Amino acid sequence: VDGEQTAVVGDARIDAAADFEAAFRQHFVLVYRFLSRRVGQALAEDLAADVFATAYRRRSTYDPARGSLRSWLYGIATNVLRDHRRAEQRLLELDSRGDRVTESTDFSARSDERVIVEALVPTLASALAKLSADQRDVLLLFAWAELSHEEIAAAMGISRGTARSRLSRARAALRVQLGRFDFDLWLFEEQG
Amino acid sequence: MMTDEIDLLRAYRAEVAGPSEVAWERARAAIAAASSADVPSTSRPRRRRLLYLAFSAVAAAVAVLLLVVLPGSPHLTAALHTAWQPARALPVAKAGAVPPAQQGGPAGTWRLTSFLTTEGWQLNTSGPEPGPLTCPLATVCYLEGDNATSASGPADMDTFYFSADGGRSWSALPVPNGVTFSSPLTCTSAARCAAGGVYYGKQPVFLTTADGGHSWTITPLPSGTGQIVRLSCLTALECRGLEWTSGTQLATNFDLLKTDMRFIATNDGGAHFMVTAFPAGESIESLSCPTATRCAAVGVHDGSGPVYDHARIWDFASPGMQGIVLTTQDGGLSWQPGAFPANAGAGPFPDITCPDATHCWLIDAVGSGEAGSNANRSQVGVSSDGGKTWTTQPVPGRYFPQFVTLTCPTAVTCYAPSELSKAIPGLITATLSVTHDAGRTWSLVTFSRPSKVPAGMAGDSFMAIGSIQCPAPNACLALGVVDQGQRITPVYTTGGSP
Repeated sequence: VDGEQTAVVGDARIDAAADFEAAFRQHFVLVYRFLSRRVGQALAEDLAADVFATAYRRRSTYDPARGSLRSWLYGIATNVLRDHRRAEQRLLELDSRGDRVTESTDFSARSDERVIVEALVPTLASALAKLSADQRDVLLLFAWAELSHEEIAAAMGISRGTARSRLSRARAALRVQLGRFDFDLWLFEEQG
Repeated sequence: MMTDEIDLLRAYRAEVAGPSEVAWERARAAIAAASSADVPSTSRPRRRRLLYLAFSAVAAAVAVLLLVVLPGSPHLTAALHTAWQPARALPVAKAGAVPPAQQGGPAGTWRLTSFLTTEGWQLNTSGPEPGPLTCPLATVCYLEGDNATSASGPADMDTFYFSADGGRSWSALPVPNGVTFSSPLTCTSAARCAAGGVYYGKQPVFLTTADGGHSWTITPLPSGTGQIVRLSCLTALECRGLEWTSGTQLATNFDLLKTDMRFIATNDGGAHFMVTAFPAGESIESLSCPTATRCAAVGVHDGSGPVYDHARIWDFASPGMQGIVLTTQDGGLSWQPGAFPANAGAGPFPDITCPDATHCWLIDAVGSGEAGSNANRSQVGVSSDGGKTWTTQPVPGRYFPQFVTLTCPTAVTCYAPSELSKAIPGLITATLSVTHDAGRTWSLVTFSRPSKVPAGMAGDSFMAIGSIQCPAPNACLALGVVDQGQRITPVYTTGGSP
């Protein structure tokens, strides 16, 4: 990166080269993992590169008064993902059919909890696939990127109230899709 | 303890690996590309931006006009650096196409791992028919592909694919406008690769990428230099290969055999090239350079001209039929003939590979002298002195058809994809010959057909392995070839469980 331009990245005006590099190092892994969860590993490499190239080009538009740096980056990631809805949908459909091979290589760390979740993967994937794109964006920014309501609002360019209500509706929709799942017993309740 | 749907979601897809070195490299390259064209958007006054956009639009229109109206193709006078482009994920195999039982397994066993399918991502119905495979790592592979609109027409090597998961899934990368590949890719790291190419069908160029094919540097070759048809880079700076100026083929039925190929080398990443001719009367077809100074080459002794005759392909005593091995120890400045295996000829597919400076393998041919006879078959030569002398190991003709190329991940292990022999009735699986004892004994690898195959492949054959790469001794990836015109390529691997 060049050192000629200055931009606001963080809480103060800083040198773009040094601080963009710092921002890149700090956030790349998390943004990549978020993208990888949503569209798969192979495409995530491209999209993560795209996110940070876009961030570099637009770094002077970042305003810390409107949100944290990570919310800004996840906002760019969410925009980039919009062009790849079909890839995400395809991945969810594969999961919902139980066809996708897990990308993990660490099977030694499996816990009972993980095994239970794997059994629920088709149900979860099917439920996510049925959410609207906006609901899914909000829900996954909350669950996977672990953004707060305020950060989600900043990332998506919506008001806090809208972010809060959209997340609430997404969670409710997901619960409906999951049906009679008992979160205390971690089992589907018996029918009838 | 998990308590709600958010915890459930966090557990779902929790086991996601972090970015690989390739991912870091790609991102850095993308940022570098952005910085090279850096004009922060809001720092430019609005009026100036509008002027800039208007100027850009006019410039683009003029460029299109020049391309459409004026005769002639674009011609490069200096290196061209293309902008970073994203990849598109190809559709994954349809459900059931690759049975889960065949997707994983212990390292070292061959299995069908995926299909490279065009369905849904391009409009033409005939391609691609994937071409040369290059795997710098067990997980990272690149593939130059054919995007020709006609299955029967010449291949257009203008499509580029990559896989970051050992061939299980593939993405397509755009190739710069006007560029077609003229040589297989060669990589010195996961993302740093080079290849020969042709610009707008006429101008030979040297192609390099430092970010896995997302952006390219297209360097015109010096005037009088032909297109690079073989290339091997030892480092990012040192590359060796064969270039072909005359365009004369030795036989119309064997487009691999060419006359007048010359040695081409660069020691500064393509800024400068050295081109040297081989000794008069020798037509070199294959080259292997395990170091910057030591190379071995194999070809045919074609005498004074293109006398290679398809009808006399097994008549090794005839002019133009004799095999020749050349070696150099000074980076191609001078070449010395080696002792070509006795009673053998170059055959239709002469190939040489040297995994290190002392060990080399070559494919030659022995036969009855009768064209088309089943007695004609490949022979493998093994050298322990860098290609000067050879011992030969006949390949059991009963089971092994003609070898096309050799891939040798170690000094004792070699794989040889082969064309399906018509002498083996009913054999409709891909075949691969392998030796683990430096060619003394060979065994045949056959690939079982999956119980379910994609539409269009049912009832078809998995006829041959078209390309194979072994970035590690126990991690190979091979592309199968199906009938011409099929849009599907089977991908096989020996890597460990994903």
